[in-house]
Amino acid sequence: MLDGEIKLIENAVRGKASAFGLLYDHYQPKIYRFVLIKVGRREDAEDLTHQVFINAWLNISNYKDLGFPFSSWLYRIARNQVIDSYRTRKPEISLEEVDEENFADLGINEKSIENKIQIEHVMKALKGLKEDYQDILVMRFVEDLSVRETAVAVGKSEGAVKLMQHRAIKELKKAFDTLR
Amino acid sequence: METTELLKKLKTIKPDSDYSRKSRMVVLSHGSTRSTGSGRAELTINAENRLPVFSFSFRQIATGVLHSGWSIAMTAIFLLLAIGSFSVLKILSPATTAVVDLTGLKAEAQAIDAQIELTNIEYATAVIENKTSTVSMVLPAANQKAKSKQMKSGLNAAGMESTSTPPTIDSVLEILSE
Repeated sequence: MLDGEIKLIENAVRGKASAFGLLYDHYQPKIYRFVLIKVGRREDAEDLTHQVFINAWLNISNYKDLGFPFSSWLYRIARNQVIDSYRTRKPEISLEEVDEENFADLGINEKSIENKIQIEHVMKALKGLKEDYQDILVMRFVEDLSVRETAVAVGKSEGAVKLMQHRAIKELKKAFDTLR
Repeated sequence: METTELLKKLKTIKPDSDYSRKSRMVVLSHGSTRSTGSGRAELTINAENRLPVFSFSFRQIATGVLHSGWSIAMTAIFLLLAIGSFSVLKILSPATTAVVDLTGLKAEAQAIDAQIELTNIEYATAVIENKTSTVSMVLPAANQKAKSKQMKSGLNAAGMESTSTPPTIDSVLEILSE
């Protein structure tokens, strides 16, 4: 959580652009990463992330009433945005086709080749999982969201999230083994 | 390596800084029309969401009307000028014709024709003289003078009549045979 986040959110709800700007600076890289792992294409991830923050800014007055953690609220918007994009179009490059050249396009600034290969494996393995499993694993282990935050973002109970997380990790291990 | 540790490697993914900066500007500019009152802000946002294309302000409409009014006025002025210049030409045309002296022009044209005729006559006589000199070589010397005088007078008369076409050898011979 960002320092003084509650105050910033209050100001943003009142329409203060500078307050929302600070929230944007903090959460935009996280949302972008989440979206990119899901869509697998830099341009799409940029467009969708941009749209997520426009929607968030235009509807921030609704945030307080629902009482969600701000990050969960943003992830929920991002999730819906990605689902909407799946409905309207299919991804042009699937993650299964991702090679080293495509990694430059994805914006992964990893110098070590070994790390790049590992990232490639992780992304390929993730792509083989169900959407809910992907979301829970990314939120919990990449974005370090709490169980509660993740539960709010995916619209499930905390118990369901724990169970799904356990299953997702097992599935991911299986996927890794098949890739190696 | 642990699966969760591998997942943490995805943290290295970062958005392009240029994209982030531009996107931030655009996102925040979306809220530039927002008012500070929460109720009114919602109203403005909802109105923007519902009517992104047709949400015109009074000022925009007024400027639109002014612009179209200007264009209509300009078109009308151009039309008036076009029609006006046509009628002005009509009005001015007798004046321009009055300036030109038609009788004078006619006389001038006739004078040119006359000059052409005169030069033709001179040319014709010169040709005939040449021909008569050749004929005189053939005819006996006694008759030559008298006949050439006669011929000259006759040819002169004929030359005056036929100004446009020079006399041919046949016509000269015909005159000679007379």
